[in-house]
Amino acid sequence: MENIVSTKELITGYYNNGKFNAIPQYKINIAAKEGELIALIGSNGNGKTTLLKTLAGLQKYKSGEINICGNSPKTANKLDFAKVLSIATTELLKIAYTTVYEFVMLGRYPYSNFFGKIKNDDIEIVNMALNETGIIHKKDELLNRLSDGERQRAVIARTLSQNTNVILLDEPTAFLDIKNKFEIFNLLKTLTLKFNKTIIFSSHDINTAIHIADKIWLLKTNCIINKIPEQIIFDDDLANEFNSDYLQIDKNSGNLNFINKSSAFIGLEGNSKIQTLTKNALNRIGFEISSNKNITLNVIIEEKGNSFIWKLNAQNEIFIFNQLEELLLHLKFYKLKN
Amino acid sequence: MAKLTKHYNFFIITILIIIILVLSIIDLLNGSVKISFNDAINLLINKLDNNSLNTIFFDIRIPRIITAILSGIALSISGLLMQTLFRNPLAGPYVLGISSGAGLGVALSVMGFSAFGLNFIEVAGSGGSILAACLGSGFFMFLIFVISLKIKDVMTLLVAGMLLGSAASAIINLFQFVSSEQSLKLFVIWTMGSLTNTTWQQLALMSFTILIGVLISIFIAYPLNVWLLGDDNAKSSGININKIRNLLFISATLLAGSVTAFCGPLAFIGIAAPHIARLIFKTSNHKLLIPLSAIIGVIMLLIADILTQLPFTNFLIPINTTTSLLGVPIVLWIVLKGKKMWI
Repeated sequence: MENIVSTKELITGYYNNGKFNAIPQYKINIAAKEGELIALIGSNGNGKTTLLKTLAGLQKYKSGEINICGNSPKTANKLDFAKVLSIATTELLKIAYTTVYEFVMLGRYPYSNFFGKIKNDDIEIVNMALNETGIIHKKDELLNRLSDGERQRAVIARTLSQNTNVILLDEPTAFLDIKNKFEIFNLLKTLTLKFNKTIIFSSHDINTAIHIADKIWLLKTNCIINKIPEQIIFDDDLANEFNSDYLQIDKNSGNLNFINKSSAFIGLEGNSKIQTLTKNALNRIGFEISSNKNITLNVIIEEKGNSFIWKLNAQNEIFIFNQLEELLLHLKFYKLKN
Repeated sequence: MAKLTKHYNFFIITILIIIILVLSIIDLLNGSVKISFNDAINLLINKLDNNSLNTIFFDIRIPRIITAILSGIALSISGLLMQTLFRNPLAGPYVLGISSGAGLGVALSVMGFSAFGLNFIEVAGSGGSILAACLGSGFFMFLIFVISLKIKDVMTLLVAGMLLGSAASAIINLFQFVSSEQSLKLFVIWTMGSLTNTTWQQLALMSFTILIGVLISIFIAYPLNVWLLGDDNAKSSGININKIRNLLFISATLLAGSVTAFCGPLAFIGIAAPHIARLIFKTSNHKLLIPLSAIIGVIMLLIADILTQLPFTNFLIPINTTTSLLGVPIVLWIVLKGKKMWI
């Protein structure tokens, strides 16, 4: 399959007082195929937005080549280019009196004459876009009355109505609650599968991105990586880029986990299903589980009918708790005293 | 606009046009010499053989009404364009110092040359002062625009506009100091604003420049709707922003400049009219806002003109005073409405 988006030796960045500041500090060679959902991830300042804007022709680049469906953003006719690539940036929409329908209709600009006469196929495509993004019930609502999640749907609907092969989205799920976030991700996935569109979105939500994207573009400080998510996890690319004192990447799932700093050891016994949760709770308040039999601090979980009790053995003194919360409170004080 | 509101809007527009007709008739009959409705009809169908009334009606009143209508259209559309350019509801030719720029141009043409013993108006005719006002307002609008690229804050930009305005006043003061008494008087009267000093020839010239300005604004209405979504969105829709911006500059400058040249700086119509239009019709669509703002602008200017003639007296108030009295409360209300500085 041919590449629908590709760059060759591309140097992106911005001009400041006539001098070019390259962001990132290396040449970018990437490619995307038809129907691929691509997550662009990387730390703040590594050039995610710059790359997206450069691909869209909104920002100048220093050297190299960009190919979007056979067009270069530098040389292509602007209107023709707008028919192959659409982008939604994080630009604020400060319009007081535009309805969702009017807003999505503006995506038809490249296809209309200079005065914007609305044709039948414009109406058809706009309705389709509103339907696909699940915002049709709000089509007569003013844009600034929408919730963040609804507005994001309207923004995606506008890029859809522009009817392009490639859609770029800069942080489409920023500011969204978790439910909306997953719905938007699912929407992007559906659009790539149903309409064979190539969607490239930037995100800080690596955990979700590696579960839904076909490819990951990982903008590191020294190079860009373009692989399928599983390969990225296997090759430890995320770990090398993101591991820190507080963050660890799970080698199997690729999930990012918080590292709890522990300052004491505790024993944990009991083979019940509550054990993992108890272990997490103990980790959270700074206890590391030890298998050393001689440890003077021990927790034993016992099953009692439908509920559990936690027995704490602290230097041969026994305490019994019916709630995990009570155990944790006691241990916090114990830690402070010792 | 939602489908349901179409009939409502049509209804409102009809009412507004009737208001314009009524106000025009009142304005036509009103003045230091009162003309009765019957006399007006007879004058129109050539049945009244009264030379002085004839002159007042055809050479003063009718040009005044046409001037008021043209200025209302021009100022409100110019204000609308500036609000879109700056994405700022408080933008307008007067507050951004653009009228001051036109004033500087006129001051230069009226008084500056007289300082060198030349009479610019005699040399270049009234077209000269239009040109001077347009150049002045265009230059100031360019300055403000360059500043707006650096300053994103709405209020700071307005302060910058006021600073530019004071700079213009300072230079104008200098001209006033060195100019001849005759041209000084000419200029001071100009600053008070007037709709009554336009001759039919000047009116023809004014109509022509305003027509060009309005045509350009209609021509760029559709891309302006997309541009309202922001530079990035406009560019990625295939809009050549530079071209649209240049056309907008030309249009707004021609509109504000030509009115200011003939009628003086008429304050606050440019800010207020587009706002009232947005508020009544709940739309940000320029294809609608251009004619709607124009209608509101005409109504405001006609009311302002009627108010210049204090009832039951022979006092004439400068039109700049009445437009301010009408416009300032509206601008204050926009400021008080709070943080959502959206257009």
